[in-house]
Amino acid sequence: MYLSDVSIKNFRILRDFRLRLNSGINLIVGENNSGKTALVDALRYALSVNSGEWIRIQDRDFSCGATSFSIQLKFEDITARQAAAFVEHLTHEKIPGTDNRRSVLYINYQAEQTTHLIRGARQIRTELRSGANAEGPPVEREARDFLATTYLRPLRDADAELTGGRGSRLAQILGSSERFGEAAVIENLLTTIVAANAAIVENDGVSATRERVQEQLRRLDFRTKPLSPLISIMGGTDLEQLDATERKQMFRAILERLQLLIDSHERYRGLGYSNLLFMATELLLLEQEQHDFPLLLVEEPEAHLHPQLQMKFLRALREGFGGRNSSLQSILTTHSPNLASKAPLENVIIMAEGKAFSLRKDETRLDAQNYVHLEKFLDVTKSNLFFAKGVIIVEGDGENILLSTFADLLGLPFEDFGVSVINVGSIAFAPFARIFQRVGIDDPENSAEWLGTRVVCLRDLDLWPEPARIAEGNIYGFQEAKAGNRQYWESHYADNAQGRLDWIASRKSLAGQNVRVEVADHWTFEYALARAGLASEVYQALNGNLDGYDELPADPELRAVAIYKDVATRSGAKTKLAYGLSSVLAAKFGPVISPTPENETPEQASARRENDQARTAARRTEFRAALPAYIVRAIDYVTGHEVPLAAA
Amino acid sequence: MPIPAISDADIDTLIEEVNSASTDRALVFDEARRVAIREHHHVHACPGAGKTTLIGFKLVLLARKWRLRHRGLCVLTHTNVAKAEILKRVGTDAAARSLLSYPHFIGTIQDFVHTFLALPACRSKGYLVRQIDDASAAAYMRSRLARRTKALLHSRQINFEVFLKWEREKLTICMPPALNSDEEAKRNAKDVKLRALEDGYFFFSDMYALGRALTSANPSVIDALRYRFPLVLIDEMQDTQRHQDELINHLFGDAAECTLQKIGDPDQAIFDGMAGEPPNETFNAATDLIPIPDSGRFNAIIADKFRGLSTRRIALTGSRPVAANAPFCTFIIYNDDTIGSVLDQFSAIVAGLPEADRRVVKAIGGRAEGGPLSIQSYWQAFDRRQANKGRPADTLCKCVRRAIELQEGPVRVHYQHLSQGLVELLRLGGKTVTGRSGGPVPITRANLRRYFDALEKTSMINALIADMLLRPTLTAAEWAEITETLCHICDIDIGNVAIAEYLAYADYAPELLDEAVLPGNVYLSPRGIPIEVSTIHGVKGETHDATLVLETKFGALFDIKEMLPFLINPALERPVFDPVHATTHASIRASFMKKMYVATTRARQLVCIAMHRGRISEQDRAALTDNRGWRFVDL
Repeated sequence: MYLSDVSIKNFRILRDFRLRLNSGINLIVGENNSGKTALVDALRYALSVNSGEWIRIQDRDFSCGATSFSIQLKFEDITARQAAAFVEHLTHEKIPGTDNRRSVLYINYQAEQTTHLIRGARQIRTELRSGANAEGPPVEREARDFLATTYLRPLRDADAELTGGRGSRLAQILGSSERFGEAAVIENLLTTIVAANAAIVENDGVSATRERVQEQLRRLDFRTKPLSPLISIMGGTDLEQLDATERKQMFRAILERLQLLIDSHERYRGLGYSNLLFMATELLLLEQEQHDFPLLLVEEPEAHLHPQLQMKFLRALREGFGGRNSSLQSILTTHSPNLASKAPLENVIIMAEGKAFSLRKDETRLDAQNYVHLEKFLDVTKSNLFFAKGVIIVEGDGENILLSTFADLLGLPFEDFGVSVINVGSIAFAPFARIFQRVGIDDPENSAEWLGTRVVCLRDLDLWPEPARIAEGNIYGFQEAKAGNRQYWESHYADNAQGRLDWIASRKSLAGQNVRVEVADHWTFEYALARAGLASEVYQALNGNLDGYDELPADPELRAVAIYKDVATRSGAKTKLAYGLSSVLAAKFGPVISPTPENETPEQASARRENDQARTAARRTEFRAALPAYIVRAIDYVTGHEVPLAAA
Repeated sequence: MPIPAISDADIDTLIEEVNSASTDRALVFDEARRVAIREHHHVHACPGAGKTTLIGFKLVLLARKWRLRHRGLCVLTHTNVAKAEILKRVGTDAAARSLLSYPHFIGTIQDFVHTFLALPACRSKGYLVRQIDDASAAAYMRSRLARRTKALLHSRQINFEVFLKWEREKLTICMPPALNSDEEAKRNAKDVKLRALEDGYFFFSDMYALGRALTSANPSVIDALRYRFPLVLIDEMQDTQRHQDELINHLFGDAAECTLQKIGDPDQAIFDGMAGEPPNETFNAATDLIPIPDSGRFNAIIADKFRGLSTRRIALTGSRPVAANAPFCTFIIYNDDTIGSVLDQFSAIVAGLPEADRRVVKAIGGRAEGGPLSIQSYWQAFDRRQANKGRPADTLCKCVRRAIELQEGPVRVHYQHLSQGLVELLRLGGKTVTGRSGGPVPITRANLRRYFDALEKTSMINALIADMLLRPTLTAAEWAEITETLCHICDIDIGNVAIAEYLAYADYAPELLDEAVLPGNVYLSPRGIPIEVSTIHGVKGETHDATLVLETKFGALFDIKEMLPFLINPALERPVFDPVHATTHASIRASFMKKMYVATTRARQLVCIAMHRGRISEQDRAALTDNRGWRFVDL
């Protein structure tokens, strides 16, 4: 039995939410305020939590403007034993293509703000019913307990949870141990404590103190009813005189006094390890209650675990904790690229703006090979694409290093717009781009269901300009023309405009939904920079100065080839350019901040600042004009400065 | 083993508890009863065996030891009365109260089928269940069937009953044979039936068919039920009809993980073959029942007189002490002129009982009315309709009138009648409420309130209902006023014919209150001893202080006369009921025997029998007097 479908209406940010879950791990990733916690809370409300914590619906749980919300959960793969607990609640769903039916379970949690006021607050009525349309009978509390989930809070105070105390989690976990089902085991624990208690009471130090207290009391109380104080751990207890209920109470009291420490040698080990210990005990409890419905809800397991420990935790989940709980379903939310990169891709669910986008095999445009590819190549660095609002996928280091500088100089810093640059180091854009493409809804009519992340693949054109050809009298030529590379030459398309368009279109074939492909205006990234308005800057970055720049040909294409020849042929030149260009551009196009002169009046200061701003704006405009158009379009798009429509 | 083991020590502890808390006769359980508690065999319990006490006791013991959180006990009864009886016993014990809710189930077999099979099946098929009730479903069919179909059904006096049936591994619509030769009428009946299902009107038997079909489409539900209920107890098993019996066996029979304990008295199976249904065989013909032959209800004298009427020859004994100076069991012999004095004569004999021992006195007969000899022959005023007042009204005015006239009974029941009337009215008006899924759903009693909430008329309708419930009279003028207000509140147009009909004024029906008849068919004899007159079926399960059995006639046979040989010689070969030939004399005699056994085993102190002088021979009189201890009184 596992939770297969969730559909939520008007619960906080989740206004119209649907999600199909995996039977094993579900790793929910996404930026803040995307609805991860709302989803986890919705599940907690509907299923209840087996630590018995009190859940109270608040007004803020209703989406803005809504007076009711509903949470529907569907469970599939129900065994007869599990179905037994819910026979009256089952829905018998038709198995497609047959006359047979199978048992599924729908649970509907509904809350409604009534018009009744209680102490100034609107009373909230809640209801839990079964049935596909919530028309089944109310689900009894005991039946609901069967579904109770194990919930691990983020940043939980594991130390407090592991310490003893009334109703402590540890006591619950101990109490549910099967061995305590045997009377003899309980008896043994009770007699141990009673014996210890007796020894404590008779201890010289203790009894001396007790006598002193009694001495003090004697002066205060009445002669007729002398008090007899006791210092002990369990109160005056004669085991023989206790009946079954009192024994049970005593047993529980003992359990509540126990505490769990991670290491018998070192009493304190740091919060992270306490968390791990806490999770281990919770999972133990899950294992003890095998026939019930094991669902583990974990919010931000990375909160206190360093990356290696996160890996270990995830691996343990993947392997079902040694296989004994192979049916364990888990739902984890995370901001950790570490976890995101290690989870199987089809088990990842991206949350964005209150919607979920599962990367299950039948829901994305990824094909089987893409999954294999990404399993290998989607590493920690690339995994931050799951948390981005905008993603630029690039094929080389040059773009990777320079794009964020470009964005800064355009006044659109990527950090401000949640944009990640992902360097795939090759032209294998497809697997990464398709992560963001849903299957079967390419029509712009469905744009509301698209994943909102704006994605651009920034690609080279890879058509060589004629001046680059090695030929008699061409001192700038460095590309050899061969029969086999005819189609790579711009000149090949001189009389075939459609052919060139087709070439570009084939490079853009990946585009669709909110994924765009921007193809270089000319040849490659670096060439395009030089070919556009940044020839001297590229030259300066390569050579350290502008010496000899004036001797270059005046024709923009010829000049660009001349500069690019160095980039393409000199070893290390690309890297040098990438690192050098940033500072050259910053000096020329960076924001103007003039120093504060002495004795400046406030009027003068604001005039100066205005002046600075105007100059900065002018520089931005100038830079925007100098950049290749495709880069400007890409940056405008991912930073949301252009309405995302069906990608061109 | 999921079922907790119960030891004799557990039983003794509970007996002690019960006896110390009660001033009644001390409870004692013999070995036969203890076995029925400790183990889970099928049980044949004689009349007065304390079956309900026994089951209640067993449930309390099991509940106290029950540890499973998601598996429970299932207790099935045949009637709501029996269910209420068990709930009452269980409800008085703190631990046993847990049996009243999840994961346990106590209810009628019909309830069970609804809860676990048919209603989930309806939900899965998208049927919205509005009413499960034969009368409403038949009314639905009647109002929608084509004239021609109706005429065909009418001519054969068939009550518009088009059922779903599980037949040859398929769910089919079972056509009344009257339509057999008429394809068009059959099509019409089928269409209307399908619409009835979509609109949510179901016959009781439809629910069995839907439930049974579900177990074939999804057999895992059977495994789930068996796991859910490791122990299933069935009370009054003798009354289950064959289709119920088959379903129970289909669900729980021969299952390793689930134990089925059937408890009942096959000798009292007077309901099992009713309504043309074949009787159950797995219990009533079973040979492996463990008997509880000792009755705590009556004394050894009564037990001995009637043991010849036990079809299954249980060795009936009575453990109630014989009271000193108690009147003798007597035959009251009348002739055509003195039949009207039988009840008075009986009251004269009953007067011999101490006053504390004649509180419940009844005169009962097999046939209520009609034919040459029925209860009405002894007492003209006997009104069978008094017994069943449950038919739904066909106009709202009758609903209201019923609520006004039902002087007794909880307000809740009156309120339910009225709400049902409102639901019907809104349905006729084509009204819906917004369902949980956002779409319109038909109005039911459960969502009625939402309809008025949405119109913001809740307080107005409540005021009107209160007015209807509390008013002492209802005149045509008042009714006109009420309907006007009602249409306004409900947003209903009275111009609609169906609505106008439903809202028509219904006059006061005076024949219901006849001054000669006390409420509930009670005859007040000149001696002031009230005698309740009833059919035998009506007193099933009851305990009386004294019972008078009135001879009646079915077909060619008089029931008492046919049973005389068995009263004279208890060892006689028993007549056998043949379900295929239910009207042969042997079959009729077999059913007489069960009815007479039920009739004669009600009384604690005294059983008298009334029969015509012309139907008993001198020889039989002598045998009954000399050998069997009977007295005779001649009128």
